[in-house]
Amino acid sequence: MRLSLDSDQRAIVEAFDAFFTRESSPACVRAAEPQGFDARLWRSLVAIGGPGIAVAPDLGGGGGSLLDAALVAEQYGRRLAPAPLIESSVALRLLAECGDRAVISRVLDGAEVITLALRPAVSHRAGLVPWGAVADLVIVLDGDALLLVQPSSRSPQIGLAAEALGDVSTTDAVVTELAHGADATARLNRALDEWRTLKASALVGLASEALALALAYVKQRHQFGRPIGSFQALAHGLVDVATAIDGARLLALEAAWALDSGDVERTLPSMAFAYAADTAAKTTERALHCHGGYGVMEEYGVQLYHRRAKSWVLVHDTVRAELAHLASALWGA
Amino acid sequence: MDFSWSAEAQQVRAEARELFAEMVTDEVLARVRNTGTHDDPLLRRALAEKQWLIAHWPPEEGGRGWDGLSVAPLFDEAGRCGAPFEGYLNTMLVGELLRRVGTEQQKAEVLPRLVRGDALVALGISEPDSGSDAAAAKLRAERDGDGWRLNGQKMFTTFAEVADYVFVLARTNNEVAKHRGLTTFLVRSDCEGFSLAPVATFGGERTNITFYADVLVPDSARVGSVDDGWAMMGLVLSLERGVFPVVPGRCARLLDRAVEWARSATGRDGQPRLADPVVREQLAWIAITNEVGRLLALRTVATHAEGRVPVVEGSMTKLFTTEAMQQVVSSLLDIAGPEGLIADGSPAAIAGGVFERAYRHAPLETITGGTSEIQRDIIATAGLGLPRSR
Repeated sequence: MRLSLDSDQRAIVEAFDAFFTRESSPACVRAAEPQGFDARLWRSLVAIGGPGIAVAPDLGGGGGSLLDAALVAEQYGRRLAPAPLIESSVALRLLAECGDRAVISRVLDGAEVITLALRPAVSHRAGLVPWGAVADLVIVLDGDALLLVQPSSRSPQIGLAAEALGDVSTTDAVVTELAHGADATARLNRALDEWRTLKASALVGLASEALALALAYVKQRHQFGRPIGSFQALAHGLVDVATAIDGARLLALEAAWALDSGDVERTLPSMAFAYAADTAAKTTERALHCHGGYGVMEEYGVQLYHRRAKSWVLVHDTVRAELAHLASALWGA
Repeated sequence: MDFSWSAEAQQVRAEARELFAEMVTDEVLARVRNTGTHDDPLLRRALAEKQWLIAHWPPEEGGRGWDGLSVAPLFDEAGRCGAPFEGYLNTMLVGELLRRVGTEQQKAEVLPRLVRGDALVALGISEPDSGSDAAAAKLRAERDGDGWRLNGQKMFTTFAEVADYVFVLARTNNEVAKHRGLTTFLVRSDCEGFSLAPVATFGGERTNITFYADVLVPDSARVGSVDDGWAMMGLVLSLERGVFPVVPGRCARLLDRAVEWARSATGRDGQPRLADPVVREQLAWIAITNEVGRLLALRTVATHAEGRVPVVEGSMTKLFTTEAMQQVVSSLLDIAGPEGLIADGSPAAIAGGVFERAYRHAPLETITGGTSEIQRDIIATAGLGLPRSR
């Protein structure tokens, strides 16, 4: 057992910290709104090997583990990068198992954007797919078939979320079947567990940066002649979320490690996602509140984190729905 | 990163499980419940023989040079079966201190007795007027010839009724800032002028008020330098917060018992309680916070094993696991419903009254070893770099 990063893992963190800090500045995140996609950032992210980090080298990937991908996802989350890192990482790993290597190449060359529908299609339509408004390729479960869809039309949806949500139809599109029946469901479930795990890491990154913004603010903001961070009423609330963030990070990395190690129980991804979601919500609420009236001002960065803490979770489902899923995984239906 | 257990750790888990199954009998547990003293001399000596609590010490000091995570399963197993070894854990906090700062004489005469489980140490820190503000201690230690004369009293000296020593925080200097005028002593509990009065808690734990009336101790009983007691205290308390984590194992066991019960018990609708979506949601959340607590505790043990004092890690573990435990027992009692209120001994009690008992015990956890507010102050300043509140 070793609960700290080794030197290779630290190198990944440093490289992607530097990348996202440089390429995904608050100005870039704001410029990509309301849809939330930055094509230039996506091409840079593919060029540095982000989405393919956990794909085999003979398919053009980095040959890393899901844990490596989780480390990248945390840095991605810290900078709210407006590009489909997590959905594309998971979709590429699914294609590596049952897809066409030419498709993988097109994504890894930066020519096409790929995403994954997190819920099955209803009446041949996958609703509110993250990055569905900009993706060239979408993996979606429709009935008992797992399909790779090249959508012919897109219907972007704008709202609280900035993940280029779009509905994807499987009828007026070029479609390839990737898997069928129980195999299709099993592959999607595996991909969703990987998504939960990487999203958990991204939410940990989001929460840790929201906390950093709050800490910087409460140390410099003075009221009653003292920095407001010296007041226990504020400080103790920040301690609670700092503790939760440390726990959420360990849990997300444990989930990634478990999937890498061939874990068959598959309860950790669900735990990691639910806990990171809860932690990100609590952290961004407190972080925003610590800013007082400035927190709700458009020009302050903390609101960018506050909105995404909710939307990054709800594009999949609620925390309560995740707890129901976890209960079934732990104790049966 | 690697979350798998080493071969040594797996061995410790197997041996600990076997040892506890043999020694933590219903009779032992009943005696602990009746007396409130969470110590069993036979268990203590058997654990000492395994040398697990000193396994991370280097071989030249009697340890095995293991990485400290190898013994982490011991605490998990102990928590799960309710093994009464808190007295020994307390003792080994002082053992760690003596190993680091003790005199050669203390290391030769006292430390081996602690390590072997032959002698217990109680902690005499809180006083009637000083709890969280431990540095405000008033118990006086004055020079008397070659030794010291102690006068005063301590609150919540748990294990004093069975301890051979009390680790006492005493005032030795009134001329300096309060935390610079303290010195720590190992006071023998059989010395003249020492007495105690029992204190019962509603959780069934036994603790004590201890009195020191002209207690004479030799200078060799002093631990650390004169007026350096606050540093000694700091080390003991930082170790107390999470280096020997038994709370996660207790929470894991409570969840197991609750799931077991909810599978067989039926609700008003005739369905198993485990089929109720609200019950499932609450139990699933407990499973998550249990895992988070387990990981935070393991991180603390690992930090300690790497030779660092886990100040922030330990306070986070203490804060998180004890507050989570209170939520766990409250949720479980709610899930159990009115039958959960019935204490062990009645045929109406469910799961041996375990939820009722845990609910009585849990409030103590966020107080003992430094309240949650003290932990938050430590994390705020040492971990988050926030300005001091006082």
